[in-house]
Amino acid sequence: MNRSLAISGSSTLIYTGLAILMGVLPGIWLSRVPPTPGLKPLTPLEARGRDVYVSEGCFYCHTQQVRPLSGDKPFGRPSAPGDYAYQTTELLGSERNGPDLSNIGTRQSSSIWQYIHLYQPRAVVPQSIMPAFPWLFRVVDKLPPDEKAVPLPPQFAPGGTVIPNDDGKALAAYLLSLKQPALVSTQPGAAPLGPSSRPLGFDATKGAALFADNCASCHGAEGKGVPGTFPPLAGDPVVNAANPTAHIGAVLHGLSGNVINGHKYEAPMPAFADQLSDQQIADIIDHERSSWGNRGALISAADVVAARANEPLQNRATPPEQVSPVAAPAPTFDAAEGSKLFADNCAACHGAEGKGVPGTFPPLAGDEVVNATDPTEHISAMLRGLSGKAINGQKYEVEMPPFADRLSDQQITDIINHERTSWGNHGPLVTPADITKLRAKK
Amino acid sequence: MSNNAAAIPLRTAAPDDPVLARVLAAYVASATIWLVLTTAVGLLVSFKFAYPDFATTPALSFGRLRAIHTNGTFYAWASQALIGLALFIAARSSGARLYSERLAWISLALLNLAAVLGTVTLDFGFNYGQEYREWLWWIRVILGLGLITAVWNMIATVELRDGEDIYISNWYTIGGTLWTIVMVVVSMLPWYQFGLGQVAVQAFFMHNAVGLWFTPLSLGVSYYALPKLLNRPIYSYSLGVFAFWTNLIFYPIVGAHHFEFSPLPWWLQTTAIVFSVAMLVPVLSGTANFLLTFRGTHEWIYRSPAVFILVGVYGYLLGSAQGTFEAFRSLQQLWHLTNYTVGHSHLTMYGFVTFAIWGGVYALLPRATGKYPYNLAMGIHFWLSAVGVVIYVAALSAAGTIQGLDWFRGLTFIQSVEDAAPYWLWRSVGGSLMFAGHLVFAFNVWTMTYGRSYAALAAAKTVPA
Repeated sequence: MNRSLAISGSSTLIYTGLAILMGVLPGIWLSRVPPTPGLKPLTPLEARGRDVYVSEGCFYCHTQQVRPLSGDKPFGRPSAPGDYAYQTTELLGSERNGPDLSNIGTRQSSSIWQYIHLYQPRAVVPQSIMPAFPWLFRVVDKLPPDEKAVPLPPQFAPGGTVIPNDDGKALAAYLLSLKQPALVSTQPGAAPLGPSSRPLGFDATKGAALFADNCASCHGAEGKGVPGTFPPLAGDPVVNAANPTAHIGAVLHGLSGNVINGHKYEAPMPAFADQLSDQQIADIIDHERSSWGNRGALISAADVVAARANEPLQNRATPPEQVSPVAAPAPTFDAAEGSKLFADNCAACHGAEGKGVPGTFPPLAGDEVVNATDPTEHISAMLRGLSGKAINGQKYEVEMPPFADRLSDQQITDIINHERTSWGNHGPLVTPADITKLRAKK
Repeated sequence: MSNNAAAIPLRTAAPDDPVLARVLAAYVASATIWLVLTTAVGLLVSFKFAYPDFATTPALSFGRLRAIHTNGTFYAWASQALIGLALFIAARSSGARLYSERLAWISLALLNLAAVLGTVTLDFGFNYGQEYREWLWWIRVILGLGLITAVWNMIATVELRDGEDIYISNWYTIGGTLWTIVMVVVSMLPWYQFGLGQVAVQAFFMHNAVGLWFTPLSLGVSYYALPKLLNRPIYSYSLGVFAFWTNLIFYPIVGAHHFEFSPLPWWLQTTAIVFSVAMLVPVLSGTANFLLTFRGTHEWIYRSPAVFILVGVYGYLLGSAQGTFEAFRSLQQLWHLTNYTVGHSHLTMYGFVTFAIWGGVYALLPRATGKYPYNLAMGIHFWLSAVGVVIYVAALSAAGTIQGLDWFRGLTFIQSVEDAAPYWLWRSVGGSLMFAGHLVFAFNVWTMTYGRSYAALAAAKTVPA
């Protein structure tokens, strides 16, 4: 009897003590964490939406915790203890088969997108493995007066008008309520750049990544949009315009009810002014303006600063050494074309990744000439070739052929701009006019 | 206990305790039905990663079935089987009869009632929203009552023992059940769990549900079944006692390692990491104790149910050591929130707990009922499940590593989904083999309980020393 009591009794006593110490006391203590300033309690509709979120098991694949790690940056700022003050049931989650949703109300503020995505995720994200939730919607023959139809792409529409039911509306309201309040006083845009900021140039890799995180879910990874719901960017007049004011304004302040090519788009586009820095917005816009056949004039972070200040870009004093995006010879380039021409003409020696062959063909990634503000040497190497040149103390014996007779000015421009925006290079871009000038200089 | 290994008992004699035989047979059969059902659900859920538009109805949706799979395998399959074995062991290791057959039936009825209600309500979308305690609170009350009646029966049975000593298995099974009752109560009381406080309670609960329920029960079963199968005593009784106390003291502290880099207080996370390392002490003691008990038997155990326990011991060692390493911040920032975690949970709940249960069932059920399974069918079950779980864990470990690296390299999220897709298919392949193994196991349970025994043939077979 004694032995049995010792084992059952004392071990249970020890366990109860540890349970109080490690479970109950931290629970009591942390239940009292005050809310982050600016955090709003849930409305009854949003709270109902959270119940739907729980009962459909959304938290098995979506976390609501942004960690202070580089990989979590796209999801928002690192989560703070006070962010959960109104979150009982807590939904931090344990697995990410889908992205983190801590800040989804800010990152994807379009309820139309949320509805399409809930009805059929693959209508907006073709690679998605999220389940479809058609039971959060109903199909009606005639649209009730105070309802809005979900504008599904035709191949996903069930025939009939789709509208969200009460659960669907509640869930969308909950998702849109998930916004991280800023931890510091908000300044429009992080670290605005002065007029003496670096010359025009952009990082194509960063631009593509930012586009994928912030824009692709509506506009599509290939800039094709969703017909009738989210406008395509490929071939869009604003994206290709020489004057970037409208383009920058749309990204900064959002849009709604805009008519493009005769079609009215109802889904509002969110504003990014508070979410992205000037350089990030410039990188996104330049990515859009140089992708999918677009050839819009490129911009710099300084243009975004100016647009934030509502300063008409045309009136901006341009530093003399800087190529103005608006004053006539605005550099434009077609990233796809540049990359293809590079692969055909240059990659055999310099490598597809611009790494060259050590001791034989010089690398272009990080090369001084490729990153130089003055593009003269870069252009003339392309036009006339090189031989026996020493780079970084290494003499390269193999001759580089001249391309002056083989490629047009536009083609050389595209190749040079590809080199200047790839593999971490950040050289200012060139225009066909620069090539013409140097050709003549013989 | 005889030390003559040649006399590995494959008795055909009629079972001497029909009550115990009835009880164990019913617990194992009931658990097996849940195993087949809930792993069928798991298999369906795994295919939804490749075919997300397959079976798009509320009742068959991923978000509802996932909870049915995890809770069903935890609280129906593994819990029922472990309690059944624990009751058997309480009686046999004490040289006593079961204290109350009626109480055993009440426990089984309560456990099944909770499992049925839990499964049905989850499928209708009633979810508490906290992993591994998804069942509604009143269903968890029923589960708790099932545990209370079970542990009452275990303690009362052990009190009927003829000697002074309580066999080590009972320490683990009775202790584990009592602690779990405390845990169920602590995790259920709602008055102190709000916001981040609920996260802290969840961190505590999540790991305790595994480490102070399934771990001690599975170890307790192995401490009894293995000496029976090998016909030799456990290597060291005191090592088993040492592992018991260290497991009890270290395990309740490691929970917060499930929320590393979260807004939970950093010191709480660090404490959890330190004690995750301390967990190596009971894990290595327990593993060494079992492996030293196995010593010198390698030639013939591969044709004995002991091989299930051998895999279970290695599953315990690998899974637990993996857990310790995963807890380090350097590795956690790569693997946390990825599919690597799911691989880990299957290595432990399947590679360790489920294999230990199978070892216990194959070792003890025939001793209770006098009916034996077909050796070939046992072998087929073993290989399907063992190969299946290896494929499963390898595929998800690779998938998780790739996901983590993708995030770390700043690729788009959807890229990590695309990169993991081929491994999810391999996971389904592994899962299919595991499920096929469960069907064979169900057949074997049938032959050991209500069906036709293989005993006549088995008796003729002797095992070389």
